[in-house]
Amino acid sequence: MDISLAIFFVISAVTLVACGIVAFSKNMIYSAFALLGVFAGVLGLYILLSADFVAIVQLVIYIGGILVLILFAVMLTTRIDMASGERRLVNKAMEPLAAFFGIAILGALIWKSFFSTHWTVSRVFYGPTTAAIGEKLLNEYLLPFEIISLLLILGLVGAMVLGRREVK
Amino acid sequence: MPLIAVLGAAIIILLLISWWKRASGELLLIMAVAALCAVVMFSWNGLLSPFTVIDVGFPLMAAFDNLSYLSFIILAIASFLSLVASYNYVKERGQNFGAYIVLILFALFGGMIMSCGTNLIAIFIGLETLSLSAYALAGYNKDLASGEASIKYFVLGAAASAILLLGIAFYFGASGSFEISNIRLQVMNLQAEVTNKNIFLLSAALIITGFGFKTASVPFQWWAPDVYEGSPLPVTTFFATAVKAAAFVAFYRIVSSMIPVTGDTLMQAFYVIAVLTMTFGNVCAIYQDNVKRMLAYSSIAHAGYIMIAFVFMSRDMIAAKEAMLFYLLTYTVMTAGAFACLTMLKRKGVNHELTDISNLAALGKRSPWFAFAFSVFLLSLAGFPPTAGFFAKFYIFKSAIQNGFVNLAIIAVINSLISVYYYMRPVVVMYFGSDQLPRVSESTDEEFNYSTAGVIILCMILVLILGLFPNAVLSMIGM
Amino acid sequence: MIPLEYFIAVGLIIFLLGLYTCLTRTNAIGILMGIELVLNAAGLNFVAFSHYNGNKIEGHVMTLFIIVLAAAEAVVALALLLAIYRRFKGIETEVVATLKE
Repeated sequence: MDISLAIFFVISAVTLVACGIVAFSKNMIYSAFALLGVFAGVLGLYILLSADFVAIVQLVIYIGGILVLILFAVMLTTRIDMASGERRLVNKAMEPLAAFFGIAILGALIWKSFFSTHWTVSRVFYGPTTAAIGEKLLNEYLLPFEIISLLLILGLVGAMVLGRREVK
Repeated sequence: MPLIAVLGAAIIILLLISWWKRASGELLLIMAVAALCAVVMFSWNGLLSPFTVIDVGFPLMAAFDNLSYLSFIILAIASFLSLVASYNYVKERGQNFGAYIVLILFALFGGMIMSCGTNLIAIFIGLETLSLSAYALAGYNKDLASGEASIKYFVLGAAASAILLLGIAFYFGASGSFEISNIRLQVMNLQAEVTNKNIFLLSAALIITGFGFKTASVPFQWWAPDVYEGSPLPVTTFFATAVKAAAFVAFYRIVSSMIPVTGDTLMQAFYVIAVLTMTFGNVCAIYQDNVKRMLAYSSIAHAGYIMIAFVFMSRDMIAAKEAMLFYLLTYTVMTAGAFACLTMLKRKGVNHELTDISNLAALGKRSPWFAFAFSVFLLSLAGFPPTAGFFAKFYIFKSAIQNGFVNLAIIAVINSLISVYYYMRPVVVMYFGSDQLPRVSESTDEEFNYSTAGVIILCMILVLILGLFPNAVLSMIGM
Repeated sequence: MIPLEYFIAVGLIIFLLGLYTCLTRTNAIGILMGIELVLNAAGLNFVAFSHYNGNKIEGHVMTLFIIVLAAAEAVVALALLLAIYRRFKGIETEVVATLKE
């Protein structure tokens, strides 16, 4: 067996187990920490796909930023002992069952189309991507690049609007 | 150019409110309105100029054809109406108007990017700009309902964008690019002997799900009534008009590029969605006592009517585009008018919105003009002949019949008849309801709500113009 | 060499689990976590497709955009959650359901 295949299986097993914990754990804190496993696993998969720059960004922003934010959110809004991840759909009980069946049917459909597809692979290339990404960002994708920076300003303004207290 | 105008105004206002704390609301409003007028003028010029710029690659990834110019105009009108209508609303609640304007302008910018983008990356980022501002706007009031609306909108909206994103990923996997243009996909379809068709259908399904959330179509509509009811009234206006219009235009662009590959498969899906959406919206609206919530359900129903255009799109793309744009324009005007009327209702010293139907009782006697205006908007939404709503519906149903969807048109007409019942209810209450309740009026007291009244008059004029001279507007759209 | 299907399959499983999390959690942060899972699945698919299509860089660019977007969304979400928490003293979805059905 190919060594990279073995690495792939290990990483994806870790990712999926962590995913399962996020989805099914009874405790929000466990879920939040399992999210670390998911992000790290996806990072490993990015490296296997030779996406070096994306992997670094995943490390810095997802694990370094977003995960910390989520942990903060969990800990600020729930006392640790109360942070039960009790699950129910938005309104009534009994609906996890419905959700589960919905997801199962959707999954079956996706699975079917997944296996009936012939995946074409044109050319696989391993190599550094950072320079190419920089070129793309400043050439072809200049406009989305600028807009995404606006999006960050917007995030700030939105957070300010939502977070401010009542004026009166 | 229209994009630059909006963006420039948004950033200048943002800088102004951060450095000059005493900047008056009027000044900011005038600047925003000037920017919106500039948008309309530039788009109008672009519409009249004979050539269209379709710049797929660097640096714009946008098509400036008459679809995008017209949707710019619709979006600018929608934002204008909700901005001006909100001036007094925000002021009498003592909130910060500057941030509100900035958010609306950013949302408008996102919507414009969405409606003119030819690249899925650009469309998606526009959508996110729109949605992030919308989440913040929904939570603008500091009361419980507004907070709930905001969190619901955020959770469902973010989930929808994530699903849409997965759809885009499969689109990318199937076609190898993010561009949406017919030619490329047709070529792909010919040469790839449909190996990727399944994956393409999967991506289409996910993209429909994502946009179904944004346009509040039926299997994905649960958030809409709560969000519309909980948000501040002018913001609800914005959601029901601008957000919806931008989503429909972007949706139209994407679907029109998919049709060569998927053929009639998508049409059946749209058929089901359209029928379910309008039936659900109309039936649920009957049971509502809160006028705001009723209008939310009615907005779901109208999304169903617009979906009819998507059904016959694979047969006749031009007619679908014209019908959709005309419907969006009239819907924007009449919904904005109806919501502006609700904004006018207030009681002295009470800050929360009075949207229950009982508050409308006997308005016909106390303020006849106001009651008349509100009735006109409701009749137009129901689709009575001399108003704009009639022609919008007539045009869309006619195109459906011409393309062989007679059953669909019949279902839609039955739905319109159902809708007459609940649109007439407020009218009946206004003119024949008893005046037992505490006094509610559109502030006959010291301070008259000029800005909102202006919006109502403007909408009124537009509704009547669109109703009396639909041909002029239609020929403009069909140019 | 690892076949493309494997990556797509992992991505799809993450997606389905994320969707399940979104649908069944009552805690708003739980739902946010589900959304993060779905976003990660999409990012993984983008990178996988672009790697196996002759290293088309567009997919990487899109993944970067997704990551930035997730950051912006998380900021807004945190502000929103804290505001909600101040008002409702809780972020479970049944606490935050005053609007009638």
